[in-house]
Amino acid sequence: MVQLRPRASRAPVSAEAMVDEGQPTSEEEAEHGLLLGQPSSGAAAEPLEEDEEGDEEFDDEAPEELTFASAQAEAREEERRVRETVRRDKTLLKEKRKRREELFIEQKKRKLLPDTILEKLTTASQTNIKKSPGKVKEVNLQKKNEDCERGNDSKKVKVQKVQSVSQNKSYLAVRLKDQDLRAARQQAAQAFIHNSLYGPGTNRTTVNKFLSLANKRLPVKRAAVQFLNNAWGIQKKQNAKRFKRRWMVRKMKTKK
Amino acid sequence: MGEFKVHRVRFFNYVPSAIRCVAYNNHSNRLAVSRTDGTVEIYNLSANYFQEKFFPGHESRATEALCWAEGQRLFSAGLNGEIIEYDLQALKIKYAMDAFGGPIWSMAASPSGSQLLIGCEDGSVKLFQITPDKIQFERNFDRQKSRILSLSWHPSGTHIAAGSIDYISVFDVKSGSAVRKMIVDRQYMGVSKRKCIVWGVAFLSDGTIISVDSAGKVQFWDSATGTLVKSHLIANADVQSIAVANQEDSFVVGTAEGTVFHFQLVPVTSNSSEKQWVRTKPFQHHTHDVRTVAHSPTSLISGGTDTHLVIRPLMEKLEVKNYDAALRKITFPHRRLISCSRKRQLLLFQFAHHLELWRLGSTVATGTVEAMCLLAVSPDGNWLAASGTSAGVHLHCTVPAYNFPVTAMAIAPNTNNLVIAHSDQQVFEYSIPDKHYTDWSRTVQKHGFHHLWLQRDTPITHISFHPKRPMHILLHDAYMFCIIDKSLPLPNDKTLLYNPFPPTNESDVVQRRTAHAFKISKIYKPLLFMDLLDERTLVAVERPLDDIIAQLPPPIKKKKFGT
Repeated sequence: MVQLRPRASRAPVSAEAMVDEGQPTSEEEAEHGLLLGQPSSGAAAEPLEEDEEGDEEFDDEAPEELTFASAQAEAREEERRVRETVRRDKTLLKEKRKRREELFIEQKKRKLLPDTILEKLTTASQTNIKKSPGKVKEVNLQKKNEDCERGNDSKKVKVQKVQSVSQNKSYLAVRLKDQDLRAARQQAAQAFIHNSLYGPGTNRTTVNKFLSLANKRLPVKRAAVQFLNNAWGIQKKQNAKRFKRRWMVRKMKTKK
Repeated sequence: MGEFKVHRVRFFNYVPSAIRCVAYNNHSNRLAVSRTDGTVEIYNLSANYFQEKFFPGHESRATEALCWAEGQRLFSAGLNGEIIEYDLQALKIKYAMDAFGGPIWSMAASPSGSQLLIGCEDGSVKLFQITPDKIQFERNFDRQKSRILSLSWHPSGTHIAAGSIDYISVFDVKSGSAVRKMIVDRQYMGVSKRKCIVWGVAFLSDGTIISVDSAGKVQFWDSATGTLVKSHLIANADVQSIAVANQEDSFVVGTAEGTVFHFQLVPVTSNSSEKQWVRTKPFQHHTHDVRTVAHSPTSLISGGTDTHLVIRPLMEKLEVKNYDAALRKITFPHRRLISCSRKRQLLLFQFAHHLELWRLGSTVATGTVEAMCLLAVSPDGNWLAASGTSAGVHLHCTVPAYNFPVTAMAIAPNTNNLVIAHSDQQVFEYSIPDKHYTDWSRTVQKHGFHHLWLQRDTPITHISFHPKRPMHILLHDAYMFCIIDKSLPLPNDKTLLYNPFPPTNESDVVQRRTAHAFKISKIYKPLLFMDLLDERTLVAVERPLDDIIAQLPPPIKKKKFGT
């Protein structure tokens, strides 16, 4: 507990202005002197520190007198300001996010087919027809199909393709979900074959070594078919080249 | 003949794709070959092994199984889960039917040819009925635990053997249930962590099942009891394919090391009636995996990752032992993949999915997109000759039909003579304005070609003419190019066909006596294309085999003594 000699506060006006609770300054002064019921050691410590700093800087002048109330008020102001800024930031971010979402929705809407064609597709009979190669508007059709499926009472799991109803029949609507599944299975099958023929446990060698075996057994032994490995240390070679170029430039500069 | 400056082009980066399946059709003596890039080729084995039909393909339609059904119908199945039927007349795909079983690993046509069986990724075996215009799903057999990698019908059509991973099952066709399940050892007399994949099965009429697997074993099983009868360890790597002859007295297997083994049923002793299967001949014609084999009545056919198609006639099955009994190795395409523009000095290279245009003398390349077929246009633009897949040549009139397909055609610039080369190495010259064969062509036919000319392996793929010398015809195949001088006498069988450079110290008289019409040079080989750019310049596009091999996938390691 630090004993302070009671001092008259230099700036009572500012303290009043800063105080939220509206306590009279005289009471504050008395409390300040008694050091009773300090809200936090930090609030009491702050004015002390300020006084000390003031002492160090201005030796001949008397240190700035700050009441506890003023300091507390200052601190509260700070906190309020900080809270305000945080709130403002949050609201700004929210607005930004909202705007972005709206933008995305708009873009999606723009990408979707016009409503007329979509209506036709949903009412068209769903039969299996031949697969079609990649289409431009597949992505949106998939979304539309999913929406339709959700809306339909009877979910036909086996249905894969939607028949095109447009007059010119220049495109076919294909459900992408099934294509992905089929592609995934095909990839898995190819991975199986690759693993069983070229995977770990198989006794494979490179074509270079295979063809060089003959060279090893010739009466006059020759080098391997592909003796140089040009793919070795590419990064190192590139770095060396760059360094050499820079060094040359530097040398030219210093020479001049 | 004169001296020429030659543009020797070796940068055509043509790499053929690996052979995946081979199917032999007994009735028409034709071979269907499918490759990993989805192309299917039909070879006519009786027309000097000429590739007569070609279906371009796509990687997504890569086939895993190919088979002929009744009525010359060709079906293929692949990892995209579809069964494709090919229209051999219109040269297109008739239809592709999804089998709804996931990727299809194997397919077999019934001995009667009216049913089709496929083995799928999910372990199901599906039976399809072949109707006159399509195929129709009939039913599913019992579903198995792992993917069905190989299928084989019993010759009577009552049972089916299906090879899977670590086991073989035997199904009864009528009920569709699995009657036997034989567990395959993972390693010959040992244990192994790697699963044993049964790459091929064959069902013989006496109930024996022959299986080949990834441990390098060929095993004989008795289907009635489900027991192993005999086991042969023939390789250190996978044995990937098996094909049985129609008479069931011999079969052929292909291994991943590139070796092809021939097994035969021979009597135990010289006069006993008991027979046993003995491994008789090994053939090492491949460097990489032999993924498919076929057995025709007289020869063994094999193809694999090293892209060669090897046809080995069996000596004991042939009656006449002439040049036909030699090994045929088909490496280079039988079609022309390169075109040349003389005036602009440009070369057009045809790849599977793109074209490359190169200017001679510089090295800038540009690309475009296209398609191809066998046509010949006369330089003055008046005549067009087209050759279909059958043997006829059609012009505004029709050339008399010949039973061998056409391999190359060209129309001479001034005389408008159509020169046709056939797959049996016959060359005809037909005069279009006069609508009959020229006199020179008749004399050649009467005289006959030199026997060495007729014994050439590869077909002539390009014919061209010299602008200033109408008596010269320039043609080439994969291993030689030849200038035929129509003014010189024809060689008979006794003269040397392949002339070395004419020796200058010999007298003129001798030279004139030995000179003949066929001037052949074997300097540039293997030759994919050769043409006359102008009077003094030739362009020759070669494709060294080493360059192709350098781009193939890794082969099996072989330990050789001393390395």
